[in-house]
Amino acid sequence: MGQISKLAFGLLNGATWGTVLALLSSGLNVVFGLMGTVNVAHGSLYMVGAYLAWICFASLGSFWLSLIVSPLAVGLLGVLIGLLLKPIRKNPILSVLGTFGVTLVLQGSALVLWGGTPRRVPLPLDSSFSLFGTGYSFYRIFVAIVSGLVLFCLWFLVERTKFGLSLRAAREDSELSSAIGIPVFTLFLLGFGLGGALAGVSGALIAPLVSLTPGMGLRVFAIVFLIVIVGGLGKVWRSVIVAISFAVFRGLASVFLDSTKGLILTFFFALLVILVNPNVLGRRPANENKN
Amino acid sequence: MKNTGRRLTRRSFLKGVIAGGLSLMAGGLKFHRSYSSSPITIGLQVELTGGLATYGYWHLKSARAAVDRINAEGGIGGRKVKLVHEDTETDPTTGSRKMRRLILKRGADFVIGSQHSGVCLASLPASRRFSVPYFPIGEATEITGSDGHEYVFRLNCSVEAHAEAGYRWVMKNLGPNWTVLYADYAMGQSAVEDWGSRLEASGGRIVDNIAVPQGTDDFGPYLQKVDPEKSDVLVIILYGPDALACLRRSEEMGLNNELALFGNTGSVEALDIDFSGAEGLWSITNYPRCLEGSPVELKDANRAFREMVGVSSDGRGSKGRIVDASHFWVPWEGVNLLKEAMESAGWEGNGDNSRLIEKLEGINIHGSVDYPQGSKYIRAADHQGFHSQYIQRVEDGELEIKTELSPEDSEYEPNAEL
Repeated sequence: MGQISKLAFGLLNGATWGTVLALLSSGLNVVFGLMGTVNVAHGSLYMVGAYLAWICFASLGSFWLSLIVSPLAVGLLGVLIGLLLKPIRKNPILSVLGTFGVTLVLQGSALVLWGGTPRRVPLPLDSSFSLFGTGYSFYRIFVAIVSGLVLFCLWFLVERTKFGLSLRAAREDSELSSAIGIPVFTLFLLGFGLGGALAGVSGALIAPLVSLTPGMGLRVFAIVFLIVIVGGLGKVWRSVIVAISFAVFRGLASVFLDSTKGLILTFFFALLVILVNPNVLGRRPANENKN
Repeated sequence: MKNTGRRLTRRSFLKGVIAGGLSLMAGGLKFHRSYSSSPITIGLQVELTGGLATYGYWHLKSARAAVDRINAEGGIGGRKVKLVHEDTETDPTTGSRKMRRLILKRGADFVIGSQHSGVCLASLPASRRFSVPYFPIGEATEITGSDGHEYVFRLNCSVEAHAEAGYRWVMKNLGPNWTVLYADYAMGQSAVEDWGSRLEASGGRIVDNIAVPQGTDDFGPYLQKVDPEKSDVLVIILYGPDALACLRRSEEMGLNNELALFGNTGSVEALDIDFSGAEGLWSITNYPRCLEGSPVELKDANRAFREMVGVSSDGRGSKGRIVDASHFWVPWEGVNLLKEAMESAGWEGNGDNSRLIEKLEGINIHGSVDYPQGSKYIRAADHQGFHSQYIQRVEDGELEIKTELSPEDSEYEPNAEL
């Protein structure tokens, strides 16, 4: 494969992989950016979504069913986590510890229930096409399209509906929102449910492309968290751009450099973005704070 | 001022000395008696969570079965054996901490494990510092090479032993031009050096060495570097989920049809290989997954061993868990080897460790229920074990044994002189 072909392959592969990362990070962003809670269990919810896809395939004979089952079941799990966090939700440090505890419980339960043997879900779309002389599954394109559609629906929900407006209002000033009749805690639970549903659908979509292990959620969480930080809290679309850029950059760096250098360079680039634009961490510029 | 203390006379001094001496003797006798009847503690450093959890599950079962069997038959030298274990979480930092915990808190007289080379390397200093014999399972060559010491014995083959036994076979049967895809940590780096140097010294060529971070989900960018026109073989030095993800993506990209695939021991370990991407994959293993692949003379011994550990003849346990065939026999044989060497050395406590080490150095082991993997020996120079290995291939979703390589085939120049 020539250099140009490698570049083109890297761009397309990175873009398709990046859309799933974008979908997953958007779920974290809803909880983190809009609800103000760092849900460390988000990666484990993604893992549960992926295992549900495996169960749908292995026990019920239909992977496609998991695209409905996973978001519903994991969304419900998200609501339960929100309920568990009720006493500590206003304390960011306790929330992190609480959701980390949930991560350990989910990961341990997966190990007990399904064992450590890596599981696999066959590609639901058998056919592939030649991309610069290399086979490329149509399913990857399907994943990118579905992820894009879900992201559009999420944007519409957050930016163009009364529900989204209430979510954003509750994040800005929860006391004032309560005073004008917005059910803040119910919104908090729904936000967790929405984040869980997005993690669930991401897990189900990715299941045929990766090896399923109880630790897969914790592994991906570090990347997703970085994407949300660099993209900016509550900025869903910026997270999408960062996720795709991250996947493309990392893929190309792995092709043209060795993997370790590629990884270092990717994280160095992310650090640079944060240093150049510290507002992404949620800080307002100094002059705004004065007003 | 009134003197309230008793005056020390010659008589009272002598009385004190005699009484003290008698009590010391009595204490010593009592200590000696309890020492020789107290249980012998074997520590197991095991991956129960994290990336190698599927290995750890079997290692714990294997060690427990061995200890239960020994206790049922009267223990070691009449003393009961107690097994204590600690989870390394498949992490070198945690693993080395757990090694110290096994020795200092749990009172382990010996430690078996871990499977993770990084954990083993991080645990070697504690074994030396506290003079506790250590039987690591991780395969990085350095464990019984540059980092090894007198208290370390490895029963199973190192990466270098796999390379020594396997490279000629791969060159001759699959081709001399290799691209190597390897896990970028201790075991993988060790393997690249050991396989690659032998290949090139014999006139073969490494087309490319491609490092892959552990836990990679998307193998596309790495497999894209493979040039099937220049390579005869894609050598995969990965384990568990990474190996599975790599094989699937390789199939999707059409590489499986363009060049031969050859994997290290970890490439099919504990994996369900009944899928088209694994079909045709060659690999090297220490032990056949299916009973059918065992040598005829060891079939009954292996049937009994599998029954005691809970592994069926097709290499599965409860809930369909697939055994890590290449390694799960090591804790079993490690416990049995300890029994043999301790009884032969008359081991009663840590003070007898030097006698135990002498017994282990250069020991010849014969295939039996105690040693179901087969006959082997531990080289005195570096405490490295050598045994038969097998070349296997995935055919119709099963691992078929194709060739047996003798223990002598894997012997390489020692990297240490202990």
